[in-house]
Amino acid sequence: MKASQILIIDDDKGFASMTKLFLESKGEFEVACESDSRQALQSAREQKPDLILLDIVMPHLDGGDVHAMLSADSMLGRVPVIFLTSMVSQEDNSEDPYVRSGGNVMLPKTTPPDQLMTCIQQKISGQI
Amino acid sequence: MQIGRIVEGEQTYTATGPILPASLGRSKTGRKTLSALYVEDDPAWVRIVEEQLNPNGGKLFQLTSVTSIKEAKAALRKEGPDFEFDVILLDLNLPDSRDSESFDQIQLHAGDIPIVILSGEGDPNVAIGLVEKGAQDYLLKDFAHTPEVLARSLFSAVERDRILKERNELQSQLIQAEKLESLGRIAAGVAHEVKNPLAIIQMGVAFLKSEIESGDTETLKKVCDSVQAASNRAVGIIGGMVDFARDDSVQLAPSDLREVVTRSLEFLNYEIQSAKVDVVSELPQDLSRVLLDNSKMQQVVMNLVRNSIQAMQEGGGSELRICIRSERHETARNSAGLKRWVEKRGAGEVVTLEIRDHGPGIPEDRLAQVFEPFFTTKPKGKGAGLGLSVVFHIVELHGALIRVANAANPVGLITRIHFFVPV
Repeated sequence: MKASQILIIDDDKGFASMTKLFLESKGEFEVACESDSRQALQSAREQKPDLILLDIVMPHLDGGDVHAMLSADSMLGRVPVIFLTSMVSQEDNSEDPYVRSGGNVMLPKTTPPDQLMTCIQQKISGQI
Repeated sequence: MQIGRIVEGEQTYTATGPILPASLGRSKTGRKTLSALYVEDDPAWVRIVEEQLNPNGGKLFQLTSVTSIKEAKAALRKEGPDFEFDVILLDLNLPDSRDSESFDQIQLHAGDIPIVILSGEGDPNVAIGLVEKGAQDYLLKDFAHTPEVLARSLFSAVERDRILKERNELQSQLIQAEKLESLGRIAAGVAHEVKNPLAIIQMGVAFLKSEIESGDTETLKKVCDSVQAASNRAVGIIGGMVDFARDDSVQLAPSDLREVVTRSLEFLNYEIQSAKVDVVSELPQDLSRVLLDNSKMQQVVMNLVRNSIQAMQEGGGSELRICIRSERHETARNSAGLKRWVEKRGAGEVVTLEIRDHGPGIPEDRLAQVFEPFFTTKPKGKGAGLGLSVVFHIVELHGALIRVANAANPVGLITRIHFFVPV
């Protein structure tokens, strides 16, 4: 099976490279990272990812701005996006493990890595 | 002849000399008598002063006299009820010291006891200089002093000193209250900043668990390093917050102003990014150390930066410029506002912290009020207006100078804090 292409847009390079390392170690993903939100659209056009992991609080353009630009792009508008952010926390007793906002899934950065991977798989296959 | 009566609480005592307001003269030990240390080598003057303070055998003052700086220091070192002085009366020309040197010596050992000078010499410049240094009063030796003059001066010195200490105490409480409010506001940002390294740690450990058998040592080691760096980062952020929260009296030590700025910006990172402000900082490499209380000065920088962020939300540009520069006194002296301040301190170096925003600025006619408590240009609910008064007080405690000015073209506000570099 061909590896899925993932693009991480996050200004925290440490977090992005560790996530890349973790996801690639599973053998199912190929991951690219972009730390400058102003370059996000360009990087996405080049990589044509199957899914984008998008941080929210970033200098220059925040995750909301980047998401709006991606949505408006004819090529990238349909690429699924998971917001991965330190802004939300997970409710322990919630039945739905994902925080949703306007059809998008938002995951805390501190989500257990295996759960993040499951979420990515489900999002790519259209299950969530 | 009885000319005055002082009523204090339940105790009543009668003075046969000075007429003094009832609010004056509460001594340290709660005694109704003020305990004064009189430093004077002329026994004749000791008798005159004793008579002026306690006329007709009255007991308003408990006078302990010593004849030299050396004896005075010894008396100030002693413990016990007889050595808890409320005030020091000082002659300047003594066998072991003369002029302002006498004052400096006594001030060094007096702790927080107010000092009144009683001198035979009346050079007004010397008198002004010593009052500026902290003497409570400068009286001339005069045989014709009515009893009120000397007694009133000593009582007033004690009272002024008490009010000053009370004011300082209230001001440090205000600083701490403002800091706690600030902490509340950065809590969300700090939580956000800590989650990033925690996420790295979680991810790294998950990777290590799955790869520990098969992974190559080089990569495993790299991941361990990242996990370690991330946990250090989290510890640093939390530690910084704890340092900041600590309620200490001001402790000045030679420090690097850049570190204060860097840490302040780290704490405000979340607010800065959420507000979409671009911070441009120019922090030179080779900077002289200045006397700082890091946590208090961080409070100042955070206050100013946060004000600027809020101002820029009302329109204008999005750039916030922070720079530090060092000037020789000669250069700084050319600036009208700095001239007097610099001249007082003699030759040396001034380190200036400048924060320039692109908000709307402050109306010229209100600029003079910005450091007053409860002054605010913000809408209701956006701040009580205590921030800048606290900033001013902290800067004052640093012996530094703060100036605010509007900038034209582009419009904005410039705040400068000038620090004097110790030689």
